[in-house]
Amino acid sequence: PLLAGRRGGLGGRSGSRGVPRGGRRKAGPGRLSPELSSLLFSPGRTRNLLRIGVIKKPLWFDVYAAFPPLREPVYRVPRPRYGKVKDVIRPILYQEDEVRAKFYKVYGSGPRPFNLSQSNYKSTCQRFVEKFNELKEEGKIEEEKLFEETGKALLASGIILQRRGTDKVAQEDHQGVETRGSVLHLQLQTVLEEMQGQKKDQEEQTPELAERQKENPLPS
Amino acid sequence: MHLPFRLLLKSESFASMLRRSPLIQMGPAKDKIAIGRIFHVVEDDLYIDFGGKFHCVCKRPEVDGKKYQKGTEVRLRLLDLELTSRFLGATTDTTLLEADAVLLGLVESKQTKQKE
Repeated sequence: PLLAGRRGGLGGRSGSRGVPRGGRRKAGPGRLSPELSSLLFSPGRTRNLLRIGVIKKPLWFDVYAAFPPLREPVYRVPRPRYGKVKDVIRPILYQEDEVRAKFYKVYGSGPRPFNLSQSNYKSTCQRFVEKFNELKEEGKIEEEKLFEETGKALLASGIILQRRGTDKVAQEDHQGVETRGSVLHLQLQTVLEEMQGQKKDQEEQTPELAERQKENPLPS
Repeated sequence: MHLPFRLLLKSESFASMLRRSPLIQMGPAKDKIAIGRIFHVVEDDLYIDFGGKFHCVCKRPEVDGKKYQKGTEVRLRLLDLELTSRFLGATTDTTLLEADAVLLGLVESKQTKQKE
């Protein structure tokens, strides 16, 4: 496969550049091989710099000479597109993006900050999406309720999701460490009450939560 | 020990890794909270790397100013992953090679953080 590539490259190049065909002539000690000089004819900045002696030979130099690309990588200004002509590169969208969009719209950024440096990092949103897919595959719950049910399932497993509704809830996030513990306590209380069957609708939680949190900062 | 499927396979394709990557999980960067690390300090300017394409530069806050040194972990609210804008008469955008974020504070220690 290596040899085949080489031959193909040689043939293609000579055809387009008009280099005399024939076998590879051996380059002398101080000379550049004909393939190399024909190849780096126009944008031969590296070649020129090398000849002057300003830079030392880069690692890719010989590799590029041996296996050049089909088209020389010179920048070509892209033609402006008119009418209905669309870009060949499609936007990257996944099926779980729908769930993610809704999650971010409802819950804001999420309780945990993102750590993008870790490659195997699983954010709260990702867990939500996975839970959502699990529940969807089970098929017991209908479509409209799936979102709420996933929220409840995550609450049951210990992940607290704060709705991005009222401003008071958002302010509590940045206040301090002491209030977070009590906020968590309050939320757990409300969840327990809900699970005991007192409240069905989750929207009723937020104004209640906001009221309790308003009382909370006063003593601290 | 239960291992996820992708770790049992010796190699995972790039498309699969991208789909699971934290960057895709995050989605649009506007108003997302992230953790960054300060990698360079120039007097009052803190150069913070949060794992995105570019780093961001923030001013040293007045509260606990001395605590922000090289290597400190901080919380940020991301606004933009890359600051770009198009000037009048230009065909392409000009980029600043920098992200935009608001510094919220230091990352709390493990004792005060809640386990999820």
